Amino acid sequence: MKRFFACLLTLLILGCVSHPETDSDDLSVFECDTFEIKYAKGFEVIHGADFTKIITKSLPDNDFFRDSILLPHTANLPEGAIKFCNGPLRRACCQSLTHIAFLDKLQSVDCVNGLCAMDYVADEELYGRLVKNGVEEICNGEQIQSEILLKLAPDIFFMYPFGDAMQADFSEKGITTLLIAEYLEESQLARLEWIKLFGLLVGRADEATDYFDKVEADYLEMETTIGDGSPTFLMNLPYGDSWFMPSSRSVGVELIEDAGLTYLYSRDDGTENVPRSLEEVWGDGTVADWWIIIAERPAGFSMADLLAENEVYREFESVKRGDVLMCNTTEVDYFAKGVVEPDVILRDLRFHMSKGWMKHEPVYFFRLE
Amino acid sequence: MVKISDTILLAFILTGTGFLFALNLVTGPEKIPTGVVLDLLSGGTADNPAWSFIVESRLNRSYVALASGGALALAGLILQGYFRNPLAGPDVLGISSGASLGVALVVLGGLSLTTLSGGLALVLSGIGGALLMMILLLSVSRFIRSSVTLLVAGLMFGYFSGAIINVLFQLADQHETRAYVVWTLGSFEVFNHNEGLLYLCAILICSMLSLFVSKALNALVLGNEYASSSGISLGRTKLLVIGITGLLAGIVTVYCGPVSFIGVAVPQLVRMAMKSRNHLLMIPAAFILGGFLAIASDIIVRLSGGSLPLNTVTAMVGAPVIIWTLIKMNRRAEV
Repeated sequence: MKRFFACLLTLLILGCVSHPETDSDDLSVFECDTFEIKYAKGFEVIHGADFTKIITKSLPDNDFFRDSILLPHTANLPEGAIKFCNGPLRRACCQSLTHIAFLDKLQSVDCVNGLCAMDYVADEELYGRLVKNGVEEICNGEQIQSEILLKLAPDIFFMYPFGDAMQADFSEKGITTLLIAEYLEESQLARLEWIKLFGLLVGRADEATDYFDKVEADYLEMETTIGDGSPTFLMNLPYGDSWFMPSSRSVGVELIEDAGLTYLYSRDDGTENVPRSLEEVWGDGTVADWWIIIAERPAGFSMADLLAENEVYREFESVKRGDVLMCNTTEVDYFAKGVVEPDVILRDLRFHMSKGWMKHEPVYFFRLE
Repeated sequence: MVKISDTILLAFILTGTGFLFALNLVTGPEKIPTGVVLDLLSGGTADNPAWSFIVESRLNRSYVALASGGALALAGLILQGYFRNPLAGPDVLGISSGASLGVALVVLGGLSLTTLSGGLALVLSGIGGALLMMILLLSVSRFIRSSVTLLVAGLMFGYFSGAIINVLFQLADQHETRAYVVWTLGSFEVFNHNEGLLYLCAILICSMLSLFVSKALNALVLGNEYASSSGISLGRTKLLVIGITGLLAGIVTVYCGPVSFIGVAVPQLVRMAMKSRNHLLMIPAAFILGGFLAIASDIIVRLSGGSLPLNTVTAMVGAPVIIWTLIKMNRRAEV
């Protein structure tokens, strides 16, 4: 027994592995222009003489988190700066497809070398490019594969904020992480504004600001104020015995309201989906003027397919009028690319509501025929 | 000889089930006046065109719940009698898991369920999975004497099926996984009227067949030797038990998802409430009480707006009964 313990002890001692220390001597620096943050509440940028500091944080109604990273302008990092980015990104890993959408808009997707849920990239061109670049899948379901991540050695790993313990673990292993929570923002333009953060990190802050300004101008130009007589709408499709209806303050609902429709469930305050009974929605469906569906269905999903799901839909006012708009997330990247193209989504909706007078080729929403 | 208390009990359960059936028709998140419900059920019309669909849906759900709950309880009663173990049941012994594996092979394998061939494959695969699991279990039972060990073997079969399902799940695409996840939540809202009637007929026929094993189950209470000496064919009984329980659990699981606990808890409640141990009486009692609990669960599911999945509700009702049974078994062993 003594021998066994002696062997075990020797093995444990020999098994200790030393890790290379992060060295700040060989530092690449950023050149950052200042810019204004107009809508986003989930990140701040502090411009200093020697560095720019990016802070990402939770919004008041959410679980608290705070993260930051320094982008040095000179080789003199402030004392205690434990997390910094060594020059514009050359290698990045992303936990969300939205992160890819931001980087793609900035023509910086080639810096991505690891990604979660790669199979869910609906844009074939983008998917092809990711494959061609040898981008690796870093997640197995919800679980991040640490070994693959360590092998890829990204300059930064963009993470969701609900993995605090994982973040600490990755930091210990020398992976620089940054918590990204653009989805907590309360408006489409606030979400889009996160492109400025990504612009800073890839050294394209000016392009990011220009893109944001252009989309903002387009969006505000098309935005419509709803009145008492505005047509009403309901959303989405049931899941099992429930119909998860977005709350009135959800960003998706606000975007449709900006197109000039009134939400049938505007009394539900909050931002999360509320489960409703099938019976209630079936009843409401007979009066709602529009039915806006964002759902994942097989490619080529048609009105006939919708009616085959439940006969009661034939009694929906929107079905009778042919005013059913669908964004099939199998075919379009609504949840990722849609974040950086709110103007295109709004234009889609306005186009369908214009009944033909507006010229536009829909990208996200199509009328079910 | 039927005891009066049992007759009263049966009448009471029957009345209660009838009451819940009617309650399920007139209550719901959408407030429809009772008069309108009755009018719609007798072929009338309503101002709101959605109401006729809502009432039809409530009617379909009610008799699908009745049949499903009854079928699972019946399968549980037969299994508990055959294995002489009060904790046996379609979900405990892995039969429901076998059916789930059959469903997973079809759904996660990419067959379209909206086509006739896809739908047929689903039904056959689900029932086939349940029957296969039952055959496996009975094969193993020849080498295992302890009924508790047999239950553990059933659980292991269930875990094994679950492991294969997990592998299939990882390989499937997002449409398939979505369809499978929705199915696992369990629901009685899966039919149009004609399919519902077909389902009801299938369950009723299989349930009728169970009456043929009542005599054998009565004899098996006293052991295999006693049953054999009473002229019971053990081989034929085994085949009937495999066929009936596999079909009942398989059909329900395919159409309604893996509905847990009813199959184990209801036979316990029947034994607790009835004085008679004659399976000819216990079979209808278990069927009706199973239906009663399933309709009650469905009412809770509907009134929660669907936010409580069926399986959650049946677990809340069934798990305490099973725990109580375990405590009772333990006390008996100590004595």
